Amino acid sequence: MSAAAGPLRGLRVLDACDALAVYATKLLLNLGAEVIRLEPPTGDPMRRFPPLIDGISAYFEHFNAGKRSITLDLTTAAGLAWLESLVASCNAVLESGQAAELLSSRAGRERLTRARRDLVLVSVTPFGLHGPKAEQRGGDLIAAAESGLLALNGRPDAPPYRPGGEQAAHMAGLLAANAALLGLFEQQCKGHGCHVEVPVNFAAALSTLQTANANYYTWHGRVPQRRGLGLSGYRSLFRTRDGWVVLIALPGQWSKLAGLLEEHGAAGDLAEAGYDDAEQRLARAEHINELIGAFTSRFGKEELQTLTQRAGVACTPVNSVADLAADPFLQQRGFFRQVAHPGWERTVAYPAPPWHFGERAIGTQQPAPATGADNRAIWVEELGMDAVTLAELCDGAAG
Amino acid sequence: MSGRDAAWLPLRGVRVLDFTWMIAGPLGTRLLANFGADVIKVESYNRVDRIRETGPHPDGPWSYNEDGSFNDVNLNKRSLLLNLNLPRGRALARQLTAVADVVMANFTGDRLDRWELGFADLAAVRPDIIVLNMPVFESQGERRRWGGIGTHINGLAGISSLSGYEGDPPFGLGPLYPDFSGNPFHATSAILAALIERDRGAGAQFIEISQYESTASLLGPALLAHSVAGSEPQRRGNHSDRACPHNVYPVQGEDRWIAIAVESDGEWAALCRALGQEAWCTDPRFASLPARLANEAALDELIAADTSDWTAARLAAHLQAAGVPAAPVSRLDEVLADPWYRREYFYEQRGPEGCVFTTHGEPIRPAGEQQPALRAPLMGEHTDTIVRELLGLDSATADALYADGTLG
Repeated sequence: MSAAAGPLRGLRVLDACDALAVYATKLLLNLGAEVIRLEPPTGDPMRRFPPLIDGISAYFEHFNAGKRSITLDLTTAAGLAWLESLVASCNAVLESGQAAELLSSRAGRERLTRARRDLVLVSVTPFGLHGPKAEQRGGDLIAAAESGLLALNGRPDAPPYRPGGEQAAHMAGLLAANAALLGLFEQQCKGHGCHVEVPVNFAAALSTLQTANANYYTWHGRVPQRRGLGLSGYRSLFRTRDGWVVLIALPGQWSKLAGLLEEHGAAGDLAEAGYDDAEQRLARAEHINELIGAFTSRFGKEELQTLTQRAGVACTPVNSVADLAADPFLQQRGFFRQVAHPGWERTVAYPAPPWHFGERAIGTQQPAPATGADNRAIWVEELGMDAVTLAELCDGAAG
Repeated sequence: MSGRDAAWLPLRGVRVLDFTWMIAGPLGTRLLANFGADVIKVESYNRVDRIRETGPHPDGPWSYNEDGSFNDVNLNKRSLLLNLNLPRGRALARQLTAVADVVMANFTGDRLDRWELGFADLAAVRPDIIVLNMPVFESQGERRRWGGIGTHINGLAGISSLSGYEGDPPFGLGPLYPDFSGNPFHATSAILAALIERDRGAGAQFIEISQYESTASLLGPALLAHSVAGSEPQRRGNHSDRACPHNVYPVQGEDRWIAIAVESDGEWAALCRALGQEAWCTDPRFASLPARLANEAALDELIAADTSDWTAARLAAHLQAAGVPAAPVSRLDEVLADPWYRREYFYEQRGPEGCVFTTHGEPIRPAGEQQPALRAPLMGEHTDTIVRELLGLDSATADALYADGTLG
């Protein structure tokens, strides 16, 4: 397995994350760690998350590709004892969910750290393990709403919306992976363990740092609102022949944009005096928007991106998922990785890891495991569980 | 918070030469600085970090040192003013690399190479250096100088096409989301993994993050489903395919909303009881998740008729007490008024020029506690210390470098 070539090779991670932070263990896996997903004997509920294709969850497949899978009944004392044996072999445990439902809450944090003195334990919950809101129920939508992220999206005359693709959970996953890596760095250097928390509602709040910077309010009493198309007078979204582009003349790019429009006979009166000054331009923003819109509508969005970027103006297409799948740039970069999938009975394209480590091939080329696929290898062959116990504690039929 | 005595500093002893600017890079190096790395932010008057100008700024005389966003993303760092357009400035940067562990940049793709500070140049002076470059598209190749900001990448990488309502233009997100998510934190995850490997004896490592790829990575299940079934995901607003009701609903006040996310039949029954609508529990249209999803519009309308008599805060507390996930759709003033966020998340720090900054906290909490942070540096605050202590320059040499514009 090529994942073994990654920088974290030889480190083992136990994955007890639900949808709130499962992205964290995917990242650690693609950095080379061995990741063992812990499921109840009846199977991980995430295996039933949409989109379901031929009864297989693309959601589960994406987040768990390349992981190993074991099952264990954690409702019994014997199950908890076996959990300790397993944790003793793990460098890190990552868990996410409601506070009361976490592995460390059910099994006891002391038990886990007793099993492995230098354990890195990362707990991701909506509102933290302790504190005034610890018992509240959360999730991606709740975090986006409470953190101030949701209120900033959309047009003023329609309800605001959360970012698509469960981004509050992605932020929690990103930070949880970093928390684990900080702990692993210290563990590898100094032999220390740690317990680190990531509240999802705090992770999501980071994304408001600029648009709704706290000092807008504390200094000026200003409360940023959602703005639809606008970026303080200028539009950033323009129509092309086949969709939309984001076009913004960044600092220093105005004359390049005006020159490009001129070159295409689309500059109108832009060459006249008065447009050199940013404040005067802002006063004529609507007129400028019309000229730019008339220009962009002549082109296809990819063609326009090439034309403008070559001229030094920041403009990109608004891509659909199908556009991404077909983008020659992403293909040439190896962004999609072809993996033979036994359940779907064909080769499918998984998004590759988000980094390039020089020319090294890192990250998994495997699909997600079947429930309990590694029960025999880990429980029996590695940790010495007998067949009767395996049937009792790990077998779905018995569970 | 002022002191760092109580802080967890696993990266103490790691030095980062930070050429990044704006948000996406500096927010990443902020994480490294927050956990103990000595992050040296390199700027010059010749090339000032533009985030110092984007705002907000306090009333009174304008200063490079008082931008709210700048101060937020540069906590715990040191500031060095070094002009990289001058050969001597670049030579000093190479000298600093010799005593650094990590170099990071997010300029146009080939900017470091053109300064002769590319991977090969830096590995020549520090054989186990970790260099991370984060262009919008690529470091080499035709698109190496193509660019954009977070607003572009929201559209480019597909976030906008998954957000909002069918039929609307792809407004995307208010925040420049990629700057706060995949780009900074994929970068730091790669750097931390490379540091672990370096400590096991690995040599120099070049890491490239294309901001386009890194942000598109955050849409994983949609990309995989498209590959398997050719399906384009619908833009579903606040709706979910695995939870219903799952939306924002109007409450008292103009443009005020509450988010409600019912993820199980148990939570559905709890919601019906909490709203005094026991009859909904037995309504066959809402008896199961598939039934509720099929009747989503009707259900949303019924709930909205009930929520509009409440204030967001009272209804959220009422629903949470009943076990239903709910929260007000908070705006900035409300997030800042929330005692939990105020006490456990935001920092208030007095800047050296007088104003009080409110900055975002660190979501990574050692032992569940807020990680203390030091204020962002003044522009050039540490130039003297760094050139004397790390480069060993004497006063006369340093003065000459100030005079010819290499420093400053």
